[in-house]
Amino acid sequence: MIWLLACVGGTPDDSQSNVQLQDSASLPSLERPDAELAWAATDAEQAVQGILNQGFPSPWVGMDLYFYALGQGDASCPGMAAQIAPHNLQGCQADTGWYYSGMSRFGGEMRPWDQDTTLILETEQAFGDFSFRDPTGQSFECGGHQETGVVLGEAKVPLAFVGEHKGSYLWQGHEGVYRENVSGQLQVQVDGSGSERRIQLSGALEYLAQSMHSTLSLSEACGWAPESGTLQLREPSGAWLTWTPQECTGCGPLLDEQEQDLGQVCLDLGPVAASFQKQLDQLP
Amino acid sequence: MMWLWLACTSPEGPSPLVDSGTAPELPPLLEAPRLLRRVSLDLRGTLPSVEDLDAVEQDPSLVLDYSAEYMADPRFEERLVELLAERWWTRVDTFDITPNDYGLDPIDNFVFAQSIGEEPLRLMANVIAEDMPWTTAVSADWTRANPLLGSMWPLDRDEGEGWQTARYTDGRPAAGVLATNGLWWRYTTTDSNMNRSRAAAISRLLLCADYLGRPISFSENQEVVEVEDAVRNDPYCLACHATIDPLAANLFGFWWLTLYSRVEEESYHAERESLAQDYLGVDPGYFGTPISGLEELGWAMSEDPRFYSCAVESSAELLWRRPVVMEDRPGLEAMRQEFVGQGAHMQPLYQDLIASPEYQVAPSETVLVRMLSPSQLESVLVQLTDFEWTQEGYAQLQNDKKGYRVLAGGVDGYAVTQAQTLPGLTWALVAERSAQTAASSAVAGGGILGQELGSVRSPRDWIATLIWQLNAERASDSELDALEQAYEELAQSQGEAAAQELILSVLLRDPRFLSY
Repeated sequence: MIWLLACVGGTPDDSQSNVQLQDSASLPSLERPDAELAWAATDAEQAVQGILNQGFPSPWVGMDLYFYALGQGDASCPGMAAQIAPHNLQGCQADTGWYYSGMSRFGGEMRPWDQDTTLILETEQAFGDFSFRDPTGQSFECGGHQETGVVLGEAKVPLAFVGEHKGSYLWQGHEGVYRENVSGQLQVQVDGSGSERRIQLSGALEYLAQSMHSTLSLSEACGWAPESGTLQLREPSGAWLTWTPQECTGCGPLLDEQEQDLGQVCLDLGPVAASFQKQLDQLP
Repeated sequence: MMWLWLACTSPEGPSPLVDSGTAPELPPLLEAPRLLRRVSLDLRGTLPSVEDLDAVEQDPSLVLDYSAEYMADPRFEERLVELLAERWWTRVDTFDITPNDYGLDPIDNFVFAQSIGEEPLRLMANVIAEDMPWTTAVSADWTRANPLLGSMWPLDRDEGEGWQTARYTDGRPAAGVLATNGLWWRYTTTDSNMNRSRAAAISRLLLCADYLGRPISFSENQEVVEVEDAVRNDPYCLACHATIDPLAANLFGFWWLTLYSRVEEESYHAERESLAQDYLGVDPGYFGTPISGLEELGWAMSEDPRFYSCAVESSAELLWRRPVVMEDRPGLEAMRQEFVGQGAHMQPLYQDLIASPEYQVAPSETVLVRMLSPSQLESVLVQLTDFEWTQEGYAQLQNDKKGYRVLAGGVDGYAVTQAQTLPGLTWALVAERSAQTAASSAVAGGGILGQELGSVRSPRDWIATLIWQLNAERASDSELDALEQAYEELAQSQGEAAAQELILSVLLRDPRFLSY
């Protein structure tokens, strides 16, 4: 009936020629895609845990990789310490054998942390659309940015770290997760103090070929299990599954798009926390 | 030039080859040979053979048999690409991504841009040429790719030269043309647009429902509100956004987080499907029906009667060379029912459209002549004379960066989105230069005209045959007298070759040749 309402309206001529619009039941419609889920709950658990155990993308690592790659060139190529010199946009070959092309920009800014305090967030951003290649032919590709920031309190003590991965990032020479394309838009916030430290992961991310969307908040008090939020997982058929862990247990039901319960899934998110250990260690 | 143009219209025509029974006063129709020429140009981009013309002159009812035969010709698929390009606007000269992004020489830009823009067109053309249901165009798990696209994009391409079937390897859903890079490289979006212009493009191209054609009223509420709040809550805005935003939400796998980036634009980003809710605040849907996303978009369209009526209407516009008007609706609705009843195959629909008096109508005071499009002119001149107008690797009638596509009446996909319907100054200049150079090419032995020159014994017979071959009209005695005289005079002063070149140059810019 919805389709009938959306149908092309009749015209005066239609009535004169006695033609009738057909209903959707007689249309040569396609079969509705009904892909069977490739994963049971245990499959999801094993697949995702296997990926988590290899680490988790960190904007701070991404930033380090950017400077590592730039540092492999020479004075004329890429031509600047923190970005590719504009005249090398079309590409240049450094004496070291590294190849650089594209554009990148590195900068920083300070902005209010929130409306309730006078705290300032100091950020650095490496933005670019570039392609590097090392002497062995391994590629470093970027389209987007890595942003890292810190909120400093009194006596310059870090109160929170924030980072964002936005776009696509790949360094084939990386031994960690950046050896395959890391894609998406994910904000990370690491904050708290003492045993009340937290990691919030917000947004979409694909790494090691697994797509996900997170609103998880991990808590050290829970042994780095989520205290709130959900993790959506795109399984091989293309369907999205939603994992809603119960507070501090690391376990919760996995639901399909029709909200049918596929079973309990338990994930150890400790490896995620380990990826931000450097930031955690700096919190009071 | 204009008087010549008008003079080529036919004052009266024959009986229609097919009686549709819809028009009480039929306009004059084309004579069968001229109609066959039109069919051949529309379906193959080339002229019919003299043998075919002779046959339909004897038996006009054969025209429709030939049209079926022409649709089995390999050139039909190539011609469909040209036709579809006029409507889909993907064959543009420039994309965000350049050859340099792939380490290619900038001189490759023409082939680069053409390949990308043709990807969605080639998919649809293949669906039609292989007589698959039109629903395949929005559900196929494959696309078409040439070696260049196969080397640039994440594609598993069948081996072979030219355009072959290929499948993306980046996990994108099966959605036919809706899942092609070529379509979304042409129809880009921005941070604030959030795929809405792409949704509008889908609606316009596949449903013939143009959001930009809707009357818009703005709220009388003068309070300043955030735009994103307004599009979700203001009833004036919701008139469009209630449907376009959920449609846009299906496309977030093609949501690029930075523009002009090769790595961003060449791959599907499955994880970003989940960002639709974050950005637009709505889940994927199709005009009120929730769907899971791009993988169900093709199915949802196939359930929509507008998908089929739009296929009929847009095909009519491409073959009739004019917009559909109110008076066309009854006939088109009958064709739509036939189209739906036979499983949505396009070739029978094309046959119906060609059999209609609207297609067969002759030019008159109220019916415009059809001008050869730049692509038709190009392919006909190649067929006749082997003349390919290229410069620095650019096909000059297929681009505007260095060439003359728009000047010759074509569509560039951005600034010019409708083919020119009347001859103009630049069009005449292109036609003149094309005719001169093509004539020269033929005299040098190029094409079927060049081959025929070797056997010319009687200039008058040659000219008569040429006019029949080029125009599908028999030459009058007075015309033959004038051309024969010109031929003889020039042959005496400058030789046979110069005389042949003159005659060819004149006839290749004759309005009867340049129209159809």
